[in-house]
Amino acid sequence: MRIQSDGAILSVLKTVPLFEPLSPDDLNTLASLATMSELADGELLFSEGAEANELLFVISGSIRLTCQPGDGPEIVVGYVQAGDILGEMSVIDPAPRSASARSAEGAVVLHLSREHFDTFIGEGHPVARVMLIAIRQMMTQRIRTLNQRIGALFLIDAEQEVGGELQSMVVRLRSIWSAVRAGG
Amino acid sequence: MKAERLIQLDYFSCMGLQEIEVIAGAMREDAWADGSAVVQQGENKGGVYFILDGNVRVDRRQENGEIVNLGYLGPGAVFGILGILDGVERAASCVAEGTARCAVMERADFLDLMNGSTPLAMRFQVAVLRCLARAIRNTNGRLTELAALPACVISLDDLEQVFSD
Repeated sequence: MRIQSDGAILSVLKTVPLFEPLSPDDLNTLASLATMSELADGELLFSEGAEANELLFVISGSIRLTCQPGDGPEIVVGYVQAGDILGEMSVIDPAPRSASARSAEGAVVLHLSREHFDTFIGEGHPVARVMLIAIRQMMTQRIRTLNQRIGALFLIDAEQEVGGELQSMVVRLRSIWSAVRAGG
Repeated sequence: MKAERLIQLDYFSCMGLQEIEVIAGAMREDAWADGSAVVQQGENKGGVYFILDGNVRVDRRQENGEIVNLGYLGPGAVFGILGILDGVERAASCVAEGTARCAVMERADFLDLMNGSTPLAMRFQVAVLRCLARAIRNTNGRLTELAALPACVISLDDLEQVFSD
């Protein structure tokens, strides 16, 4: 259910830590341009492959992200919690949604169109500033996590007690990759 | 450096020509000979590097001294962002494979723009976030491919596919 009332949206925005640095005027501007939706448990927010044309903020509840590679079963790839931003990658670097998003337990979500986001940036608006900082923090954290996962792949000691299949894969990967390197 | 060289990097497409000229004015173009290090793991200096031509090899020295090749970066790739934003030392070395040419922005200029609130600074921040988004997508894709490879069918071709650009 979409909530269009500026007053209702404004009262919610005032409770969101992300927007604390904003002045009352800035919050009013954001409330007049954003929309808000209340999602029932399991309700679809967007589908994998869909065009991404808005930035989303989870105000309360949580969102479950799923992917369906090929004709295989749908797999859960993560959860987005209250206070987090959603869909930022596709808005920053236009691309179709890489996952489907559904409310996991009921959720309230704030929507800001890419058009309004771009306008805020073009104006050097404080709303754009807080959003860019939040998106930067999310992305750098995600890269650190990915780097750790890659690092872990090469740090796993083949003699350690790791899962049989993983151990076998790591041993083969490291030995073959070493051969590739040695061969130039 | 000349703005024309930056225009070839499509993540600056969110900026107008005049803005790109300002950004280009804060950069220099530099070249590294085959085998020379553009950045050295462990050092805490240098800037952000946008590869214009050529390739760099990304190597990481492990605690046991072993050097692991983490992959290659080619034209359009960017490196050095995270270390500067976090203020930490370089996590890996980037070594020229053949001659590599990069647009370089020094860290003070980069941080000024990343912390700025003018429309120019914010559009630059979007361009940088675009670089990060692509790095995330690229790494996610490689990890997904890697995870999907059954141990019994890993081949040299599979590995080259996963690790090379």
